[in-house]
Amino acid sequence: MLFNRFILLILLIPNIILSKQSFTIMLDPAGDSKQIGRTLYNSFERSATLQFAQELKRQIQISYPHVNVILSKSAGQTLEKLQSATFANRLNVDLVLSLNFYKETAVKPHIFLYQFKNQNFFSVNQSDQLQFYPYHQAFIVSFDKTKIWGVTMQKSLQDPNYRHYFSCHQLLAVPFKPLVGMVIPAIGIEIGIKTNGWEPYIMPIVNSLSEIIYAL
Amino acid sequence: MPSKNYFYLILSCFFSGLLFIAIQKQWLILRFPTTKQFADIQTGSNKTVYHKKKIVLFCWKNDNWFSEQSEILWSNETAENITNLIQNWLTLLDDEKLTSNKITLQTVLLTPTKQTAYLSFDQALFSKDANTYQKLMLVESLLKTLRTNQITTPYVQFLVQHQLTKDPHLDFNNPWPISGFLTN
Repeated sequence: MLFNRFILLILLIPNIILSKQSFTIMLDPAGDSKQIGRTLYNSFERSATLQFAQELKRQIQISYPHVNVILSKSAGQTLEKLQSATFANRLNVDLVLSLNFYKETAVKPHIFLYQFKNQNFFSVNQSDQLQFYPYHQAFIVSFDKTKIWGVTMQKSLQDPNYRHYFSCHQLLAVPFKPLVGMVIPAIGIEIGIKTNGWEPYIMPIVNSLSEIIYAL
Repeated sequence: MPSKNYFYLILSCFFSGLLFIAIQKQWLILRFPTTKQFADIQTGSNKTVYHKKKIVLFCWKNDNWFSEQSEILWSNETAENITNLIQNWLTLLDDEKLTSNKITLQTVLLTPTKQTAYLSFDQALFSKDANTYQKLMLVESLLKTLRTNQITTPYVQFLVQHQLTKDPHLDFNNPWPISGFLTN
């Protein structure tokens, strides 16, 4: 009996070490089978963000082999309210990236970064004691960590090398609806798409994750 | 002699009956000096006082704050002031072509404690294809207009057709602080 337990412990050690080192990112593309999202040049936000998420997943896995990347939904799937948040919270992923596109009308495309915050943040008394939070206050748990990671991404995307292609705004803490109910750090990315599509944004976003991934 | 008495009795009953029915049907309204309502009218405590006031309206245009001054009648009723302010602000948006359709304000209501102002519009303030930043700055310009003009209600709830505003990118299920979200 004792020997079996010893063998089991030996077998589990690599898993425990790996699980501590691994980093899991959940990509949450906008829209689902019922919500087409915004109209882009020759497609809808739903399909463009899904394709972008699939390519982003591939590139992240190439650049950071120890990182697990999961998509919140597959093509044709319908999501219930708060389903992405529940999925991310239960899987206890390390980071959620909500991917959103819009049709860019300005000459130079913009990237916006958001973290969730609502009016309750001003009124909640934070305490060290265990307490219940309603879903719209879930963001309070990881607010500071999200802010640090968001600013890290922002700084990377504001690199002078990218300035010619797009401009990245500073991280904004607003009631960004796709991030409602997320306990884990969650950052909303909204990209202005021009006629040349979403491909130019893949590598800048992959590179902006490096500091976050290696800091853990 | 008795027949004359009967005549006066019938006549007085007829007129007193007329008087009672006039009071009952509110054709005749009696206000006695002892009632509170009368006293309020005399002292003028229910009276809305108006005066002219310069207001500043804000909108976000070409990545900058754009302001315009105007003059409106300002009263001691907060809801009425908010209504006038927002109607002027909507006119400014329409003039500057910042909204695709002409939006009108339906109702402004305050909670009894004056903690939250409920603003109901006839349609959403922004188009569904606008980016979140444009939507945010539109809402922020309204909040900036309210707080610059000394509206002290701490929270604002946005409604469309008296229902909660539904937007896929910004959450309007809870009231927004009048201070906005730009001062992080």
